[in-house]
Amino acid sequence: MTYPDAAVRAAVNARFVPLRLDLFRDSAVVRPLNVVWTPTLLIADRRGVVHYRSVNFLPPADFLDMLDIGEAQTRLKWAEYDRASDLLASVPARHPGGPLVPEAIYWRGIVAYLKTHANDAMYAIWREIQERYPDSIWARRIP
Amino acid sequence: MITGSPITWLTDWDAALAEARRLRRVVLIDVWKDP
Repeated sequence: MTYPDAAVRAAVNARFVPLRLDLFRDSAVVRPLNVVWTPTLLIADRRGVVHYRSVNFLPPADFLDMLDIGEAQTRLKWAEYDRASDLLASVPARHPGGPLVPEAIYWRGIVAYLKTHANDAMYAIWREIQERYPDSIWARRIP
Repeated sequence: MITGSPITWLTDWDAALAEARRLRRVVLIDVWKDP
């Protein structure tokens, strides 16, 4: 199970506002969130705008990666590029070989572009995906 | 070993957003249903 995991608890308690909604009991609030399956995890900003979603369960190590990517996606929309980049860099550092690592690297490239408006900065980061994860869907998303 | 207190889930949308503004945090929403 994911939530009993100590590292997951520590990450959620330290960095997030945890909100649990019931699909039916809280239907007025949940309906606009377009949730069709439970559990669905959503990561939203302080206005309630959802920036990332994850369906069903993940093992703790992958769940932690999902939290980092989801928070980074939210932070980058608020132009908090340094924080977003740090979160995305922490995924391969903590969990090398994890299945969400190529996604984290991909988004770190996009954050680098948004911060610098330099294609070179983005492609320098994306090169790692091409070299280490050439078969991932994220490598195919590199033009 | 990392230790962590149990997660205390809020259950009110407006209260969660107010807390997120106060703490400048993002919101982790777990949509579930009673078994």
